[in-house]
Formats: sequence, C-alpha cells, structure tokens
Amino acid sequence: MDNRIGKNENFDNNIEDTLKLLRSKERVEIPKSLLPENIEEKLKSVEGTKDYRKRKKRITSAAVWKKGLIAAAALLVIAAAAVKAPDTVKDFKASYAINKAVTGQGSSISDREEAKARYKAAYKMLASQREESYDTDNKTFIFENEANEDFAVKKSKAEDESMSVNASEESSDTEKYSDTNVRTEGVSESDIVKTDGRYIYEYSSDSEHINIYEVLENETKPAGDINLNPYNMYVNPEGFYIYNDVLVVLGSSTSRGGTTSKKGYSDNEIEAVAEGEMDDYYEYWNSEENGAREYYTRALLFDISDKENITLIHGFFQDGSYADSRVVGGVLYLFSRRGIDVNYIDEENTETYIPKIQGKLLEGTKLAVAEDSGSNAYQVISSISLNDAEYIDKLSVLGGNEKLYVSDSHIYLLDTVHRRGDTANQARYILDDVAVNETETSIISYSYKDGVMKREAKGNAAGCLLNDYCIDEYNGYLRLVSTYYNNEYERLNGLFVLNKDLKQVGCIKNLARKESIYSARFMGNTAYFVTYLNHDPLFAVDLSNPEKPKMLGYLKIPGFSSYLHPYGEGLLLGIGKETTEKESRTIGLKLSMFDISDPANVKEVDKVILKKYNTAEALDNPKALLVDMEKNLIGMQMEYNPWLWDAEEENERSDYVVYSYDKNKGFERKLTAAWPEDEKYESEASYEQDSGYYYSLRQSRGLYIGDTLYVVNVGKNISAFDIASFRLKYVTNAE
Amino acid sequence: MEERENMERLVSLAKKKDAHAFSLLYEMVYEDLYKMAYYTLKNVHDAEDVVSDTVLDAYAGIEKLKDEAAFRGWIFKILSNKCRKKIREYVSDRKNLYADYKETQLGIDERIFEPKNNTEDVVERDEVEYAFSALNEEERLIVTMAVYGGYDSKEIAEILHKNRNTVRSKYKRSLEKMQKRLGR
Repeated sequence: MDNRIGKNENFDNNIEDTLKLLRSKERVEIPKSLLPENIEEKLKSVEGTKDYRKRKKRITSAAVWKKGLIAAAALLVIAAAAVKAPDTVKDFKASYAINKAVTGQGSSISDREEAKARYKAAYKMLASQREESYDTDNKTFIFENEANEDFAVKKSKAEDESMSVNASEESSDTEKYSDTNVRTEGVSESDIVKTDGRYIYEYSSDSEHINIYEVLENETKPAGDINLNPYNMYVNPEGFYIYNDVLVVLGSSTSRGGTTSKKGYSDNEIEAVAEGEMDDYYEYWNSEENGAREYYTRALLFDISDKENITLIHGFFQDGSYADSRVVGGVLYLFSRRGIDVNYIDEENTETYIPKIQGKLLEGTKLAVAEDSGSNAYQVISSISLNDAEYIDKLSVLGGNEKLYVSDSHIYLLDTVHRRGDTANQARYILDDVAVNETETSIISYSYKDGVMKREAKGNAAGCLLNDYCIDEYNGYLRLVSTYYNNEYERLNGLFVLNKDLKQVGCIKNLARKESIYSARFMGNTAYFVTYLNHDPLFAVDLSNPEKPKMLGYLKIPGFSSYLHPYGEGLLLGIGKETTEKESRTIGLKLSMFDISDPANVKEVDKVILKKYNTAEALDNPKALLVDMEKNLIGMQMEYNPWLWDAEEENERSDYVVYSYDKNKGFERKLTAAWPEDEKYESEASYEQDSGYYYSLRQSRGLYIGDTLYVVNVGKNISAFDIASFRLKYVTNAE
Repeated sequence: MEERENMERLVSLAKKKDAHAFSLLYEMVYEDLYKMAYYTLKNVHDAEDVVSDTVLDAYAGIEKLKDEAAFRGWIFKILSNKCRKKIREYVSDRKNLYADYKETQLGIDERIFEPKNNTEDVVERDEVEYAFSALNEEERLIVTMAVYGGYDSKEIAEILHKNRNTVRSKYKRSLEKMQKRLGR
C-alpha cells in the first residue's frame, strides 16, 4: 500500500507511531457488494450511463437531404437494392470467414431456421463467457443475411419536405435561425436547448422540465412546459429533439419486473409501461438481486402544436440503457446497450438472452452476432417514424460498441476490441509487418434510408478513435485517425483509409510517438488532426488519392486544440487550451485561427489566450458551440473551475463569450455575458468537474434568430442581444 | 516504475470501458476506499453507497482522466467529495434538531459533536473505530484523507477549501486525540 501518509510533513515520531498503530488495528469488513469481482460484474452489465459527453455535429441543410428522401421512390430504391443483394452477399462471403453452419449454403435457408440459428449463436457466445478465457481469435461474424429484403417496408406517410422545420432558409415566415452544431449535416442530434425560429426550448435537469419560451420583440415569454418527473426516468442529459410539432425526449428507466424474471409484457401492459412511471433508475445499484432489474431506453413523443396543452403522442421503449440517437428525415434512430449477466442465462428461456423492443423479443433474422468481439452486450437499434409515431425497423448486434458515427447514408458501429490471452500477439490487424498489439477498432456499417437499415460491411482498424470526428465517410471511402500501441507498448498514431467493404487500402502510420489524438477534422480531400503530449502538432494529410494518403506537413504549437472547425475560405478554427511546455499546466482557453489555404504550410495566423478561463463545455462537446461564419459568431460558455488539478485561483467564473474573426484584425471579442450571480453558487458538482467529466449545473447555449443573438442560461434566464452592435435588448428571467 | 506503467496501461484499457481492467485498478484501492468512507461516515450503509457511487462515477468518467498515473489520487478525490456531501446531509439533519449553533466553514458545529452521528446504533467493532469516535466529522474526514487517501495537508486544504495550516493543526490534534483512545 502506498504509504504517503504525511509525506513532506514534519510531524514528530509520536504521530508516526499512532498511525502505525491505527493501521495495525483495523478490523473493518468490506461489504460483499464492493468486492472487486462483484464490482466487475456490475460494471459489465451497466453501461457508462453518465457518459453524456459525446460529440455531435451540426445539422440540416434542407438541400442536402431533400435530394435523398423522395418518399415515392423509396420503395423502388429498396426493391432495386434487393435485386442487387445477392452480388453483395457473394462478395462478403469471399472476403470474410463465415460460419457456414449458421448462414448455410446459398440462399435456401428458411427464415425460421435462420432465426433459430442466430438465437443459438447468441446463446453460445454468451454462455462461453462464463469461463475465464474466451478466445476471440478464430471467431467470425454472423450477420443478418439477405433475409432483410423480405420484411415489410413501412413507408412513412407523405412527408411534405417544405414543412421540415430546418428548411428555415426556404420559408418566408420565420427568419433564419441557428441550429445545433452537429457532426454530419442533415443528421440531427439532441441538445439541451433548441429553437425553431419562433420558440426557444430548454431542458433543465434541475427541475426535470422542458421549458418553452415564445420569442417576441421585447421579451421571451413563457409559453408552456413539459413536466418529466412523472415518467421517473433518467432523462437524457444531452437533451431532446424538435421535429415539426413533435418534441422527442429520451431517457432511461428501470423496471422491477424485468425480462429475466418475467415472461415479458402482454400487449395490454405494453402501453402502460411505455407511457408510464417505470422505476427509479438509480435504485438499480441498491438492488441485491442480480438481474432483478432491467434497464429500458425510452423515447417519448410529445405533441407541441398547442403549447398550452402539450400531450403525449406515444411512448417507445427498448431493452438497455440509452446509448445514442439521431433524427434524419423525420425518423428517430435510437441506440441502446443491453448488457447480459451471463450467469443468469437459460437456453430454454430466450427472454434471458435475447433483447426486446417494446416488450417483444427481437426476431432472429434481425439479430447479428459478432463472435470475434467476445462481448456480452447487445446494441439494440430501432427506427421510429416521428410523423406516424410507429416503428419502421428493429435490429440488434451482439457485440459491444462504444461509439457511433452516422454519415448521411450510413451508420457505423465502432467498438474497441482487445485481444485476450495468448492471442494478444496475433492481432487480427496487421500494419505492414508490425503487428498491432491488443487494441483494434471493429467497424460494422449499416446503410440507412427512411428508417430502413441494412448491414453492409464489417472491418477492423488499428487502435481506437477519440470521437466521431476522427472518422469520415467520403466518396465511398472511410478515413479515420486513431491512436494505437505497437508490440513494445509504444503509443503511436495513424491515419487509415478503408474502402466500401471496410478493407484497408491506404495508411500513414507511426506518427507522433507517445502522443494521442486530441482533435481531428476531415474536410473533403484533406485531413487535419492534432496530437498532443506537451505540445500540439497539427498535421495535414492529403487524401485526394485515398489509397495513397500523403503527409503534407505539420505545425507545432504549444497547447492543443480539442475541436477544429472550418471557418470560410482557407481558414480553420481551433478551440482548445494553451498549456506550459513542461507540465502541461493550463494557462488558459485558446482560440486559434489557422490559414490552411496551402495545407502543406499551415500557419497559425491569430490566437487568443483567455487566462481568465480554464475550461469550457465546448472543449468536449461541440454541440455547446455556436459557430456561424455568415454572422461571424464564435460563441461558447467559458468557465474557471478552481477544482482542476492545475487551477491556481480560488474563484469560480462562468461567462458566455462571443468572438468574431476579421481577416485583418484577427479575433475580436464581442460579448461577455456573465452567469447571473444572484445567489451563492454551491459547487455541488465541482468534484465531478475535477474528475474530468463535465457536469455543471450551469449550462449555457447561444443561438440566433434573425438579427438577434440569444444567450440561454438554462433554468436561469435568456438574454437577447442585437447581433450588429451586441447591445443588450432585454433579459427574461426564469420564474 | 513498473507499477506506474501497469496502472497507466490499465487506465487506458478502462477508458475503453474494459470492466475487467477497471476492476483491477479498483482492486488496488478498494479497501482503502471503503475504510475511508466507513471511518469517516461511521455508517456501513452510507459507506457502501458512497463507495458504489464513486465507482459508478469513476467508471463513467475515466476517459477524461488525462494523467493516467494519477488514478488513485483522482478516485480518492471523488470519494472525498462524496463523503463531504454526505456529511453536509448529516449536518443539515442535525441543524433541524438543534436550535442554536455556531457555523464553521463546513457548517459543522464544533460544540456539538457526536461520536455517533447516525440514527443507527453503531456497534464499535474495532479499536480504530473507537479511536475515530473521539473526532467530529470534519476531523475524521481530514484524517482519513491523509491516511487512506494519501493526501498531504496542502492537497487536503485544496480539496476542502481550507487553510493549509488549519488542516495541519487539526490533523495533529486529531491524531493526538485518537492516540489517547488507542491507549498505550
């Protein structure tokens, strides 16, 4: 045990003796539930539920997905794809080792047998994890086959494209307004503050309410609210969605009558469960019986056409705790993670090891088993039409995933896989002659369109990805930057290019020894990424020939950028921190502007270091950022957190800060709006800030409608500023 | 050195949600985690709660731990703060019972200290517990942070927002009181 008691202290020997005596007389008994093996079991079946610091990107240019979503042609497209399917499947069989016993020869396996076989494969993989060593080598991937094309495609009822809430440019009634900063244009992500140009919506976790304000000339007037308390769920702290007149709230609940002890829900019960109270999420941890409680991910659709009389349209739920979601073209794609306690599975009772959606077991043909993952958790995925409030598609993959990347046409499930035991040195993925030790990212791709999802390919890449900005689909290629370890356990970084079948076709490896990737941005044929240990090289790579990526150069600067954002012709904005060379102590937050007109010679043309602040939600969560080149706004909440390890001051601070960028003058500060300090701010969650993941009771978002900028301090107030002059127009306080 | 590298490695794995790696890290510290919680709060149920909450938070938040070798200090910091929070609850419960009191920085009244601050009757199972019962909550927290958390007075002062010298003298006084109880 590390005896750092009184290190560097000069206490007398008396104290030392007392301490020795103390330690020798301890007779405390550690409760069973806290023993490492039990903790491990609990963690395995619990997903990191508080991990809500994910990254998502800006959405909706109506033009982009308008082209893709032509409802009338949807069926035709799918029919055409169905006809093509056999060729693609043949290709797959050629490139991947397929367990013949499961998928059979040719296409003569009936759906029923296929379903049974899948169930069996899932059971087998889970049951074998009861033993100590599960050999993931020589395992294969059992995927849904072309049976996909046989299920009835639910076409969404006529969608009037021009009614889409995000086509603000097209509509003459509402002014142009800002939207959440999302990863892929056209793919919506949830956030705690949203606007549709006429109302501002905010989710306040303190009160568990969604507050709605009508935006008027001289005030924002409370127009209505949704009380989420009665649903007894852990509401998704990442926020909600607005789609036309539907507000979608996501969250997780538990239920005592879980699937392991009960034979699922009857049709009568389902409605009640979907829209009802369920059980307190946190009670799970106090439960002594393993498997006595199950997690459910819930989606509640509310009708907000009449703000004073908001009603629940429908509730949806599926096994597992909330993982992620997206909304594209009026369809909600919902991802949850269901961990299975392998000690409680019973082959006869499929309820114990097959996931359910809305209380019904998933059909075998919609199940994929990734045997090479050695996982005990299902990804449960469903697509729900927001116009019709009904399911379109359901599927599940037995194979963990921790990250998701959704492009405008594909869903990529990303999982970090570790080689176990003896197979550690025989990494599946070989980088030229150097075997990559232990860590790989497994990628499974699904195409999606109008809610219908079809598995496309599976592949691996070295190392692990920081976030979904580190991977990008472009012109049929998948490019990514990752951090990996070689046989000598040295940390390295690389850029990899995979083709449509997810086979590697190009790479640049062995970059930035000992450092790890801190941010990345793919812009068409060029990739920029930042690695960091003490200082930050910003690398630029030319991907115009995907099979031969070319390192163009790199720029070494102190500090690092944790987020990169294109800012107009030849400019790249970086948001991050300035740090000291030696110890990486934070000096302050930093905004950098890089001139990338010549990617081979990237220059930092301006930077601002803000010593008054040492952290910002936007560093880890790009949704918290407002970036608009047209209006020339760079806005985010900046804070000083005295609890961080390298903080030197004692006072907390929280301001919403807005900068502009001028070609000649550089960065110009336009606004500093302080968080109202009308009462003593109790640092309730300060330790959580210190522990790294950001949980602040003070969350802010900036948005604009027309020529007014609104700073929304969630649960506190909304301030309106004129964008031209930044003059304060008014402040509306929350009641 | 090796231990440090091993810890870094496990933390890297834990960041990728490898529950087994995390449990190995946990194994290195769990006894001290529980001891700290138990001796500070003097309540088995609360101590268990507080440690499981800490584990939950740590497992969820570990991907943001940049300095991987600082795992121990980091997880103890989470625990210390949870203990503090719990103590505040005890104190505010007590405030409801006692009309007049003098507020100290943590809101703990030095005048009213109860060796057993909980509604449960705690049977003093070991001498260490008996020794700790000579202290009030604030003092117990300071001592357990030093003894189990391994922090020095500067770190404790930072975490508790106190003056360093105050911490040092309280620590010293506390140990003297405990020594008396431990006999010899």
